[in-house]
Amino acid sequence: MKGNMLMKALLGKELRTMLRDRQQLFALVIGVASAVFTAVSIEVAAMAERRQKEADKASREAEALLETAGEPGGGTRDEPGDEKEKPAGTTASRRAGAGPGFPMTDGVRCWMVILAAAGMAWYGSFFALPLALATFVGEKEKGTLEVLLMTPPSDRALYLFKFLSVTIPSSIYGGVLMVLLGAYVLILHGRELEGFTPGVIVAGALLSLPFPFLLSGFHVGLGAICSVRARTTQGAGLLLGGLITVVLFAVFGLAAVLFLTPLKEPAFRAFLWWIRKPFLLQYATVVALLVFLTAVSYGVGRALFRRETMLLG
Amino acid sequence: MAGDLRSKPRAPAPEGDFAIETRNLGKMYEARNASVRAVTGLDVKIRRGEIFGLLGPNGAGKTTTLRMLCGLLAPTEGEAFVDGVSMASEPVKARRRIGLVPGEAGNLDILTASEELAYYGAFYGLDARTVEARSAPLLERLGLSDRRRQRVGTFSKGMRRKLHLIRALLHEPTILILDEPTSGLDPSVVEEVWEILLTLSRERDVTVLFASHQLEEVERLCSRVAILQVRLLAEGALDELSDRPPAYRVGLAGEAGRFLGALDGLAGVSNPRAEGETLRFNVEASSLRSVVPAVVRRLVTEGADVLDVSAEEEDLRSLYRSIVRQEAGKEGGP
Repeated sequence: MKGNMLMKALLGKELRTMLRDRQQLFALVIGVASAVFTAVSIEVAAMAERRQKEADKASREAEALLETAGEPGGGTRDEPGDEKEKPAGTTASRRAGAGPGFPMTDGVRCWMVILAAAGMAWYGSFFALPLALATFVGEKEKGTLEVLLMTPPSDRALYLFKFLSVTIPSSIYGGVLMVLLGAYVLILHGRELEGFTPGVIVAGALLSLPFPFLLSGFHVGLGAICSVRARTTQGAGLLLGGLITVVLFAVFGLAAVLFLTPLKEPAFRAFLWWIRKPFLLQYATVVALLVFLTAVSYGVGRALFRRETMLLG
Repeated sequence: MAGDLRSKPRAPAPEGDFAIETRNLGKMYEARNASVRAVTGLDVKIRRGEIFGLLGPNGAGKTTTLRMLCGLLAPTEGEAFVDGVSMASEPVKARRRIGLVPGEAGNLDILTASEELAYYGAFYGLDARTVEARSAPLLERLGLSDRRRQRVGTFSKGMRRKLHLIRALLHEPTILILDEPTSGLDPSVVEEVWEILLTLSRERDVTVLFASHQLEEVERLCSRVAILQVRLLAEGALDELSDRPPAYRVGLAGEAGRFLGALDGLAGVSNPRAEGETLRFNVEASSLRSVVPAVVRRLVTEGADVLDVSAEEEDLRSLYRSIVRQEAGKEGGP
C-alpha cells in the first residue's frame, strides 16, 4: 500500500467535498470575508485616526498662536492641575495618549492586524472541527465507514491519513488567511510601522505558519475522539461542544478566577511567566505547548480508533 | 477478473480446499450490565467457487458472523480462515482477498461514480487507470456507464447497490461477502445482481457468501446453506437438508395447541408443533403407513375434530420455519 496514493485519495475526497458542498463552501467564503472585513475596518479606523491627528495638529497650532498672542498680557497660561478639567480631546490629553478613544497608533494597528491574523488561524482550525466529524462519525452515519475499515491499511495508517487529510486543508486555509492579512500589512503599512520592518513582518508570518497546522491538528484530534463513541454527527457535535467548553474554561476561566483572587499577582507571574521572557523563548513555549496538545489529542484519538470500536460505537 | 467476467473459468477447487473455514467461531458483546452472546461454536467450511447462503431470523448473528469473517470484529472464541489465511494473525493479507458489500452500505454522495470507485481503489493500491479499466465492463454490464460522471447523490437505491457491487469487485477478490445483497431492490435489478453472482461463481471461481432473508434468492443461487440462530442449527446442500422425515399437517376445528400432548410417545412421530388450528409433525419414513392413521385415531380419541390431513412439501421456507421453530421451542422449553 502506497501512503502517497492513500493520502492523495483522502485529500482529493476532502477537497472535492469542501468545494462542492454548499455549506462548506459558504463557511470558506465567510472566512475570507472576515479577513477582508478586518483589513477594511483597520483601514477605516486608521483613516479616522489620521483625520483626528490632523485636527489635533491644527488645534495645537491654533493654541500655540493664541498662547503667543496672549503672552505679553500674562495670566492666561494653564496652571498645573487644570489640564484634567479641560474638555476631553484637548491637546494635552492627546499628547499624553490618554484621550477618550484608544489611540490608534501604527504600532497598535499592527498588533490588531497580528491579532486578526491569529483569529484567522483559529477560524481555519475551527473549520477542521466539522470536517473531522464528517470524516470520522459522518462516515459511520452514512454507512461508508464499514467499507473503508474493510480495506487492507492498518488502523494506524487509516487514522493517520484521515487525520492529515482533514488537518492539511483546514490549516492551509487558516494559513492562507493569515498570509493574506500579513501581506496586507506588509504592502500597505510595511514601511510606516514603528519597530516593524518588512523583514520582521515576513519573519513573523513565517514563524506563525505552524500555528494553523497545530491548532487544526488539535481540533481534528478532538473531533476524532468525540467521533469514536458517538453514532451520529449530532451526538459527536454535542460531545465536542462540551469538550471545547471545558478547554476554554480551563484556559480563560482559570485566568479569570485567578484574576479575582488575592493570588492574582503571584498567579499571573507563575501562569504567564513565559510572556515576560524574550521573544524566541515565548515563541518556542507557545509552539511546544501546541505541539504537546496536538500530540495528546492525536494520540488519544489514535488509541481509540480501532475497527471494532469505530464500527460498533 | 472483475473487468472481464466472460473469460475462461478456472479449474474446480479440489475437495477440502476451503475458501472460508471457521473453527468454533463465537462472539460475545460486552454491554454495561450484561454480556450478549451473538454467535457461538460456529464450524463452517465453504469450498472455493461455492455460493453459500447464511439464513437466520433477525438477531441470529448473521451480520456479526460476516463481520468476523471480514476481520471487522474480533471473535471472542474460535478462529476464522480465509483462503487458509488466519484472520486473527494476518488480517491485512486476509482482508485483501475479500470484497464486502455491507447491508447498510452508503455512498460518498458528493463524488461522481468514477471518483468514488477511484477513491476506494486507492485503498487497495490501484491507480485511477486500473480502476477505470476494471470497472468499465461492469459499469457497462450493469447499465451505469452513462452515469459514471454523475454524482452518486443523484443515484437510485438500485444504482447505488450496483455501484457497491462494482466497488467490492475492484481489487479482484477471491471471496465476495454480501449482507442482504438485494434487499429493497426492484425485481429487474435483483435478477441482474443474481446473474452477476452466478457468473462470478461459475466462470471466475469466486466464492460468494451472503446473508439473506430472501429464501427465494437462497434457493435460486446457493449450492449450500447454513441456518444460524446464535449457533449453527443446520448446514448442508438444500437437498441434503430437505432429506428429513416427511412432514404432515392436520387441520383441526379449534386450537391445535390443546392436542399437542396427545402426540407424545407415539412411535415414529417427531417434532410435533402447533400453529393456530394446524398441527404439524414429522414422520419417520419407515413407519409412514402406520403412523399417520395412528395420529388421527389418537387425536379423535382425545376429542379433536379432524378436518383434513395432508403431506407437506418441504421447501426451503417450511424447512427454515421448522428448524427455527424447533430451536425456539427448545429455548422456551422446561
